[in-house]
Amino acid sequence: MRHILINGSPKSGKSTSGAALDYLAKLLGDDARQYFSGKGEIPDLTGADRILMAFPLYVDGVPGHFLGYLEELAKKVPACAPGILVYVIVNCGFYEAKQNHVAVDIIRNWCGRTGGVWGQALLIGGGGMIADMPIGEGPLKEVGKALQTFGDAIAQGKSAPDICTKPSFPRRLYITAAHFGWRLAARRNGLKGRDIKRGLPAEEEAL
Amino acid sequence: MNDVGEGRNAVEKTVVIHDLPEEKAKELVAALAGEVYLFSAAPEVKHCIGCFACWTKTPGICVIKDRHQALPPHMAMAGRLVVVSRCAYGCYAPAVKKVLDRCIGYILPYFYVDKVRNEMHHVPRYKKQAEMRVCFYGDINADERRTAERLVAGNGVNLNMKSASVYFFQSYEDIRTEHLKLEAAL
Repeated sequence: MRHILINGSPKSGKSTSGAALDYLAKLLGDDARQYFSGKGEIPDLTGADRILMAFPLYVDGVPGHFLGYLEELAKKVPACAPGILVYVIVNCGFYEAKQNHVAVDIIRNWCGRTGGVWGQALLIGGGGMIADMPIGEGPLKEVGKALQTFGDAIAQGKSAPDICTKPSFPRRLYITAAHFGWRLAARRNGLKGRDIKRGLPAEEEAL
Repeated sequence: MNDVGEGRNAVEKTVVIHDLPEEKAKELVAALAGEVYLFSAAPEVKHCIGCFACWTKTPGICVIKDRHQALPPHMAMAGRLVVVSRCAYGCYAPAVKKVLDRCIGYILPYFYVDKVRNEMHHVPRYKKQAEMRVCFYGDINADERRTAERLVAGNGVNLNMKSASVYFFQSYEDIRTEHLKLEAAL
């Protein structure tokens, strides 16, 4: 059984997509091999049984660089892996996992175009908390359970309804923490917190 | 990348992001009223790397140094945003999506909760809201069409547009200037 894991995050370092894939790679064992779309690594699909792709939500859809990667990958599916099962994880910085639905449908459409068979999608909200905390513990306990269920479906080659998950953390506090984080990041870059809100000169001239 | 239409009576500035051949793009916007700023997705701009510097280091503008940096000041002034793109699986073409991915400085990193939708969204950076029109072209099936409609509706909300509408065409050759005009429904 060969599993192709594709990281669709543009980040070469720590990312939520990478953290989710690392977690699942351990569940899927030695037959899971990871590829990084940011480096343009296109896998050889010959003999592969399942594709698992993970990426962040960008402007309500799939990141531009990953769309280009998917178009290249699509050329290989009909000849090398017709009927391959396709699984996808989409995470977003919004608290609500449902905001990933359009991005999931874009991959469903990719599946339809390539002849892949739809497996399942895992939609993760509150993605900003995932990369920095241990999955399966504390606020990420439920996220860990969802990944476990999702991993079982992949291992068994099942097609199942989408799963939505998010950290067990109140939305109000998530927003407060995010705002604190933005201001802290701005200060580290030599700005004042209020600078984040400034407009570009073009608009200031117009007002 | 061209400025077209300087010297006309200013109505509302229109920014057009597209992946059309240059001649076709110029032909489409030639009869548009007001100032028009054309931004071609070719040659491709570098892609967003998720660093968020457009929010925390150079607010409003992507920190990656390439021709994309010319776009945000025009978007800030625009009353109309038109996107013309080949449709890829119900999304924009990769080159066009790369342009849009690097436009998130148009909004703020801060969040608010839309109580009607019960969803988090980003707080706008600018008071001025634009109307958005997307023209997708290419071989688009029914599923992709539905996805694209939802995508554009989502963009309208998350980019704080006054309105967002979408049209579909089999070929970019079928797109006419009238399709880019936002003031009148077709």
